[in-house]
Amino acid sequence: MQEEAYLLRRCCVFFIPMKTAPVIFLFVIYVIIHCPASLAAQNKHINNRILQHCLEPVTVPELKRNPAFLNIKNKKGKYSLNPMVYLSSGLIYFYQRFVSEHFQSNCTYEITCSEYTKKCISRYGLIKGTLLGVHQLNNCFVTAKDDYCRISISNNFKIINSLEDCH
Amino acid sequence: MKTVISHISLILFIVHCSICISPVVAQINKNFIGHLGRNQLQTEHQYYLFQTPLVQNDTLNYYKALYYLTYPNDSLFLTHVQTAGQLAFEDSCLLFTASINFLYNWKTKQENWFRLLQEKKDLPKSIQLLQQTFKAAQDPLNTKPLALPDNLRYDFSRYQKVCAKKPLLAAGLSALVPGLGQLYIGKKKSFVFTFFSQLIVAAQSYESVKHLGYKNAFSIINLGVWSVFYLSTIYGSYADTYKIRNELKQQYLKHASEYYPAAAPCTLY
Repeated sequence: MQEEAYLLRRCCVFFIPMKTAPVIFLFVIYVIIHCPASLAAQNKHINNRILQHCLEPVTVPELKRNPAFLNIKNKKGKYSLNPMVYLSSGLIYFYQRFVSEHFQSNCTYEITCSEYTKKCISRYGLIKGTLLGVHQLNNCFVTAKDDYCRISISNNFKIINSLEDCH
Repeated sequence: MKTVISHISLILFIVHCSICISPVVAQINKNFIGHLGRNQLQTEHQYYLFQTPLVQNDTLNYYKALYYLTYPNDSLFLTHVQTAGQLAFEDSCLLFTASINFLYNWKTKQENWFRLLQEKKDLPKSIQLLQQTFKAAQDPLNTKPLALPDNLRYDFSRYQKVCAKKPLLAAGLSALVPGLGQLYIGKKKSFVFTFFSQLIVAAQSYESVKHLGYKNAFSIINLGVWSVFYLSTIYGSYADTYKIRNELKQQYLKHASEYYPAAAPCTLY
């Protein structure tokens, strides 16, 4: 008995009285068995949840599209009812639909001059938009790509002319 | 002390019960996250980090920041990096990859990221080089090309030359001679084409005014078209200066974002 008590005292980190030693021993065994089992159960539970989530069918929501005439926005992002914008867009639409077909179909720029003018007018107003559109028309020739950096040329060898680059 | 020792079994029992009763929260499995990241399993990765009950601490925010670096989202990456604390800033690979992304791909939050890096001290040399590259792009006129690596000096010097050009001077030159502003910027072919197209339109309007008079409808239309073309070259030269500056800046940053990973490759997971 005395030897056992001596051994227990050497094994324990803190000084514990003899009466509580069996309880603590049982507690330690319980912890050693219970904790890994609960951790493994957590992992299994999580793995099952991950599998269920991944195997669920994916539903894609339907896109709502506004009519085309409502897509004209101003700088603040609000729909604008500027009559000059509608007039100029209408004239350019007439040109694109009936006149443009008789000219060349391969443009040097990604956004064609007429489409670019229409977008610039809707975004920046009639005067600035017209000037930007006509400026692109002035620079619309086959070897214009040599004046631009490689970064501005798309994969299908057209000059990238985004509206965000305008000053 | 004696009462504590005598009741130690009761105390241990209460502690164990409190641990068992608390909600089931798993520890983060780093090997599993590494496996998900290396094999690009985005759905599982997203579900594991955001929808399973994991311990909410800096480590989780660090792994979320890594997730938003692998599947890019600049603003969410920034928020998680800031909440991850020192963990994120000790991972040099994360800082390097994020800086490369912010240099070229993530343009909206560029300044936020590099301002955040400026506040940190003792960053690795590779990150300091990237900071220098970005500073050169922001303030090219006060940076010497010799401060940058050899491969980037040509792009930077081109960008520096264009930054020294004045947009109002380009517009003024175009007003004097249509297209001269384009030559001043560096667009030689645009100058030639613009000049000759302006010449043709001007000649057309001059001839119509000479033969038909200026009160004729055809002359008025010709004069109107010529004036629109003339004003567009002036405004175009002004706008093109900024456009070319932006293009050359993007070219320089693109080369930098390709050069640095090739020189010092690293893997996130």
